[in-house]
Amino acid sequence: MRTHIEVPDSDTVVSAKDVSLSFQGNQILHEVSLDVHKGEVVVLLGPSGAGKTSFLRTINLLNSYDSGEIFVDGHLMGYKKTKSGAYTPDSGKHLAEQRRNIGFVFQHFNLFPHMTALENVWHTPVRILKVPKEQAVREAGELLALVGLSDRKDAHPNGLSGGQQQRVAIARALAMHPALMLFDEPTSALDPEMTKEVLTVMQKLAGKGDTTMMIVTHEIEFARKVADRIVVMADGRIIEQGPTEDVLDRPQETRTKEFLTKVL
Amino acid sequence: MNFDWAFFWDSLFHPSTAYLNGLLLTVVISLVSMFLGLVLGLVLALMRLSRNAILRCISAVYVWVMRGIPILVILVIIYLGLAAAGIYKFQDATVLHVTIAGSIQAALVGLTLNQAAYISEIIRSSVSALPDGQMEASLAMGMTKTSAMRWIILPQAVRSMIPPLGNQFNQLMKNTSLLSIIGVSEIFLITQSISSATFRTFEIFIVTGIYYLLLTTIWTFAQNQLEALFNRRLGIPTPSLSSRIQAQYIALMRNIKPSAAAGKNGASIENTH
Repeated sequence: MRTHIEVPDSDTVVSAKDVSLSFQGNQILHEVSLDVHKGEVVVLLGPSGAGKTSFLRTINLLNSYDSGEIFVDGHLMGYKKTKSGAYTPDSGKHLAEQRRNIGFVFQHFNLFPHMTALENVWHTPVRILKVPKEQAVREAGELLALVGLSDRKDAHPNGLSGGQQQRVAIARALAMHPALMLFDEPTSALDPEMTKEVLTVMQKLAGKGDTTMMIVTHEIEFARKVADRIVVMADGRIIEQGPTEDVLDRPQETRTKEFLTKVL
Repeated sequence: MNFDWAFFWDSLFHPSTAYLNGLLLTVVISLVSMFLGLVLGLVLALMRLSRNAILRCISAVYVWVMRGIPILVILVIIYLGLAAAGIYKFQDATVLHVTIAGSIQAALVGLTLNQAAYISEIIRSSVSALPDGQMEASLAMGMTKTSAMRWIILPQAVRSMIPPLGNQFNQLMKNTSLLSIIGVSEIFLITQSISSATFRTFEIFIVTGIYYLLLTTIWTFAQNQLEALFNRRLGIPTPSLSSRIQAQYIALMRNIKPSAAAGKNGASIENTH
């Protein structure tokens, strides 16, 4: 039960306050705080083991956290607001409903292999949101067109290349009309050629300007093109953040400089 | 050797009505207890996979007990034991104008209880074998764990369940012969009575063996069709029968004459040494 919680304003899609997480005695996140505004594209950079992926997964509670608060679109994740205004934990149906507002794109795609590409996209809107099937299938077709896969809509995931699978996964997440899209190293499992096709789709999405995105990636040049803001993490903390060019071209922190010279 | 060929062929190709009824009973009991076993097995598997420690424990104990006791002992306890102790006596009952003997009811109960234990383990291991990413992706899409099970996890696990479940059904059909001990007039009991009436034990049991083999062979083909069906749903091409035989043949030839059948592949393998 939690009381006296300040709800962020409606322009703030993600509001993380002092989020800490430890796992088997290791402190993974140290009081991480971050606000992401509507339509903003935030890229998280940093050496591996910095806690970027953990932080991203904590936002939709694929990881639980030990202390802090995470608001997405004005809702405290994993809590239900009671009539008295207090928050009670709810990890069941209520959390599931909250997650429908957040698209998550995994490093290893995690498409549903028993469904075609098109079915992967319309399945959850129809089965869970109860969208009329005809409408959902039409929308799924449009989303596959958006990611350039209209001609592969009847293929099963194991008949698609990695890049194609990841593009279907992006369409699948978008089908829920989420307020926020989270990308967890979406191209790390892909070879360079396929990386490009996925990044192109993401760039197109970012260019539309109405999708709030948080992206964990190691593609610095891509970050430069799409990010409104760069957040650099190291050892479970945000060590530096700011407008893309400031952070990439004029980093202030030594560790940011070290990291950038290594990856560029 | 004393082998009555005329009796053998006659029993094989012109079985009596009683014999065919026994065969039918064997099939029906197998199908019904497999179906009921699947239902109960699914419940037990979901209990075992749940977060509730009490449910997990109940399921685990059930499986431990049922797998540890011979089906024959369970059948005798259920049909004869319960009646002898005055706890419950299976009576003949009429359902939809069909009279079901008490012994058959007891058989269905015993086989179902026994099957469910094995089936629940098959379901549980198939579900556990799926990559974690599938449950994670389902949760991230906003499904509850129950919806994820219903739409994502079980439909995929079914594919890997089919071969072990098929074997289970195969075993079950053969195990129905044990029902003769509680007086269910399935094919084994009928065979026994023919045997004692004619003293043609060798001939008639060979005939019955052939009929069991026929049943299990038909089932093997059915199972292959099921596997192919689920492969199609996963977009996996199922090799045709002829290509499978061809692959078997090639593998066999490689084993017999490794040097002759090796060819290009063989050469490259040798190079690595």
